[in-house]
Amino acid sequence: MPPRFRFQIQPKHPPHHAMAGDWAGLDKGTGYEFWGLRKYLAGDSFRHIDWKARARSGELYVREFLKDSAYNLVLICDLSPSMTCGGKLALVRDLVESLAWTALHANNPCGLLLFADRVLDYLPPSAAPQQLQRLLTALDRAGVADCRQTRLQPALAYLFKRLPACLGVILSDFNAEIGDLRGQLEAAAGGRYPAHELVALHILAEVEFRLPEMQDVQVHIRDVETGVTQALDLTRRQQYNALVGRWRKHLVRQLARADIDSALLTVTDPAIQEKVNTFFARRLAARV
Amino acid sequence: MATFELQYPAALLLPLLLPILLRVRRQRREKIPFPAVGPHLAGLRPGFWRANYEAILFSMAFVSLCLALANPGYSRRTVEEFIESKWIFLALDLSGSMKRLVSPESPETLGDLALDGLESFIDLRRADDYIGLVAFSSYARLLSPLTFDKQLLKNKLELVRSRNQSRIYRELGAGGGTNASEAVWLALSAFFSMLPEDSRLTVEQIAGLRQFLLSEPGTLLDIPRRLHQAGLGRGMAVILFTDGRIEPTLRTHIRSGRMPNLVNLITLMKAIGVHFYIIAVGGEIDDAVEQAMTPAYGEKPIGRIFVTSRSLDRDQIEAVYQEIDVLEANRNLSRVTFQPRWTRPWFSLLGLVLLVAHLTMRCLPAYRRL
Repeated sequence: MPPRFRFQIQPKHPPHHAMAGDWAGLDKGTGYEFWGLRKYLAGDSFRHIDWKARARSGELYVREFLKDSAYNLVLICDLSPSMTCGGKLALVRDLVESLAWTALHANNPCGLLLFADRVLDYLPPSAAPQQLQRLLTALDRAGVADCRQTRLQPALAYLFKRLPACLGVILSDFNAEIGDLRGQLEAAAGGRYPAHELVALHILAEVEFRLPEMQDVQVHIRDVETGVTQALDLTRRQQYNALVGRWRKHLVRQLARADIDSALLTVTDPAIQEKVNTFFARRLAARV
Repeated sequence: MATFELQYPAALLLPLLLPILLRVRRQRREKIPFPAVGPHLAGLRPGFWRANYEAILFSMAFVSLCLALANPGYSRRTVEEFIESKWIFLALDLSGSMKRLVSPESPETLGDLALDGLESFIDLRRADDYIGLVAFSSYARLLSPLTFDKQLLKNKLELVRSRNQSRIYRELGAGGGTNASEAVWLALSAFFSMLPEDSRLTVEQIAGLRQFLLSEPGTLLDIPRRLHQAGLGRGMAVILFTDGRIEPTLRTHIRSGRMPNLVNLITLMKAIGVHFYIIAVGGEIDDAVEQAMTPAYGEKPIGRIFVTSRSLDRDQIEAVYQEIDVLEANRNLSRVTFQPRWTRPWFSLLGLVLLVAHLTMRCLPAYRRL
C-alpha cells in the first residue's frame, strides 16, 4: 500500500559521511553529478545557467545534477501523552511511513528514535527492504508513554552518541521548553559543524494553532501530561490565537537558534505534503 | 426571649461542610483534556469574579440557608409609658346588721351609707380601673365581675339598696353571718379568672390553693409558678367593708370545716401581692387577723385595717375611701416589651434570591460554563 504522502527529502548540507556521493540517488537535486540541461525557468539560479548552451542555441539553459544520497534519515518521534490529543499520533504514523518510504526508496538508510521524557525505543538506520515494516511495527508497539513531561535533550544525546552524522526529522508538538540544543549539537559535531542536520515538524492539533469557532463560554482544561488545570475564557478568542501564535514563534526561534528549521503542520491541514516538500525546498534554496 | 437567640444552634455547624462541598464540586467539574497548559495561557484566565462567581454565590446561598435553618432571633425592645390600671374588688357586707338605721331620725341604713361610700369611691377611680363587686353575708355573691363600666357598677349597687328590696338583697339580708373569708376568696377567684389563657390555673391547682385556705394557719403555701409568671397581684386590691366581727373562720361553720381561713387568705394575698383593705365598723377584729395583716420586718404592708365607730356617717366613710384611693393611686409605669423577631424568612428569601441570581448568571454569555 503506497504511503499517504510523497515527500522529497533534500538535506540542506552535504552529508559528512565516508560514502557520501558514492552512489547516485534516483532524483534530480543538488549533487555534483551532471544530469542534463533544461530550459531556464523563472526563479532558477543564474549560477546554474549553461552559457555554452546559450551560445549554441541562443536560449537560456540550466544544468541539473543528480541528488546526493547516502544520508542517514532518523525519524525522532515524540510519544508523550500530549500527542494523543487531536489525532496527532495518527498523523505522526503517516509521516513516519511516508518519510521512511521516501528515504528507503532512494536507497538511504532510515532509523527511528521514540522518546518522551526518556528514550523509549531506538532502531538504528538501515536500508534493508524490511526496514519500513520494522519501523512501523516499533511505532505501533511502543504506544504512548506514561510520563509527566516531554524532554528532547536526552533523546538527542542518545542519538548523537550512536550516530556520527544524520538527517534527523523531529516529529513532535514541542509543548515543553526546549532548552539549549545548540550547545548539544556543537558538542556532538566535534568541529565539523553541522554533523547532524535536524529539522522539526511541529505536529499540532487545531486547538494548538487557533481556537475553533464555538460558544462564548468558560471551560476548564487539564494538561494531559502534567495534570495542571486552568480555567479558560473562550470569549477572548483573538487573544488566545495571538498568544498561541506568539508561543509557537518563540519555540520556532528557540529551535532556529540551534539551526533546526521548523515547519508547522496541523492535523486538519489538507496540504501537508506540499508544505513539507516546500519546507525542504526552501531550506535547500536558502543554502544555495 | 433573650436579646439574641438561635432556634437550632446546631445548624451553624453545617457551614463547616462548605470547604468540603466546594472541594468536591471542584473535583467533579468536567475538565477538557488539553495538549499543553503552559504559561502562555496564563493571560487567558478569567477574572476573579468570573472565575469564582459560582463558588461565591453557592457559598452565600448555602450559608444563608444554614442561617435560615438555625433561625436567629432577636428581641425588639419597646418602652411604653402608661398609667397603671388597678383591679379592685369591693366586698360589701349585707348581713342583717347592716340594715340598722344610721340614726333614729334618718331612713338610711348602714348598708345604704356603705353603698354611698362605694359609689363615691367608684367615681374617684380612673376610667381605666377595673372594679368588681361582691356582696356577702353568710355566703358570698358576685354582683359584678371586674369591669370599667361605672354605670353598670352603680346599677348593681342600686340592686342592693334597702329601698329597692331586690331579691338578692332579701336573700343576703336573711343571713346573719359575716362570711368575709368566702367573699375574699370569691374576689381572688375572679382575679384568677382574668388571667390569660396560657397562665390560667388548672382545676388541680385551684383545688390545691383551696386546700391550703381550708387548712390551719401556718401550713406550707405552694403558689403555682404560673401565678408568679403571669405577674398576678400587681395593682390588685380587695376592699372589705363589714360591720361584723372579723375573725379567721365563721364560728357557725367551724364544725363543717368548709370555710377558708381568712388568715390563710391574707397569707395567700401577701404571697401574690394583692392588697387588702378592711373597713371594720365597730372595730371587732380578731387578733389572728390583725397579726396576719401586720407586715413582718422588711416586708411591705399588704394593706390596712380602717376601724370606725359604730356611729359613723357619710363623711367618715368617704374619708376612708379617699384614703384607700390615695393608697391605691395609679402609678405611672413603663412597660418594656420584647417582641421576638425571627429571621428565618429573610435568610430563606436571601438564599432563594442568590440561587436565582446564580442560575441567571449561568445563562449570560459571558458567564456561561461548559
